[in-house]
Amino acid sequence: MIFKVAKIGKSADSSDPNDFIFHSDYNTFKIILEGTKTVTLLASTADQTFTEAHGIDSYIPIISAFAKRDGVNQVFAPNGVDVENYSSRGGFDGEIKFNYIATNATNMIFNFDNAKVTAVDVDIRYFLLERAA
Amino acid sequence: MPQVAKIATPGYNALTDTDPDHFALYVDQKVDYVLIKEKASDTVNVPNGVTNIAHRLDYVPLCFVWAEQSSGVWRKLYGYPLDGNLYFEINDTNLMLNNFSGSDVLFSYHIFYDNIT
Repeated sequence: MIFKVAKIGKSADSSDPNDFIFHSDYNTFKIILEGTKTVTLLASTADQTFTEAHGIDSYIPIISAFAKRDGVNQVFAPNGVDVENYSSRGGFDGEIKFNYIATNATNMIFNFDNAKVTAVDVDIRYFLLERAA
Repeated sequence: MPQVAKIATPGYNALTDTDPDHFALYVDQKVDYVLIKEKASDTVNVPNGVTNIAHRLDYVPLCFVWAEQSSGVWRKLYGYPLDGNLYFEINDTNLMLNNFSGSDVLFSYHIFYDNIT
């Protein structure tokens, strides 16, 4: 038996997977754990690593995460910088760099650079996904 | 009257709760709360250079990619990196796994049916 729910205006008889909110023929990707972690980045320091135990002992989960600097509305992803101001140089000033996220058998791993001359608090929201890497 | 189908996650009341984040499935015929649908996934060894994974869809699909950055440590990848040598691209034919580290690297990828263009 197939259980499927079409998008508004789409036919449940469609053969296009993009026409469905849910279709039991296809695996839906599941978030198995989500949470937040606040870290304090040391001033003027690159390559700062923070870890958090994920508590999953049967496999290495895969991770996605986003960061938000204290006092700034914008959220930034790994492999990117925060955006504080649009500068007179014609570009964004991003002094906090979210270098990467990773997982191993024990921990979630978050790595940042802070080019500011002051310490900065950053809130991280992480999502552990269903599948082992 | 709209057709409604809701499956709440543990601890929430499907009859009274209205936060879609509290549901495994939330259908109200007002907004399409789409669940992304997986097409393929695999872990592959990528030699230095570019390895193409044909996804056999005629559009650009959503995908997620990770790489084993060191033994047992898996890092999420994005587009061309700020630094480092591992990244991915995708078009309407291939997921392109880019490894310019100079040695073999394990990549793990997930390709979804969901069209991003």
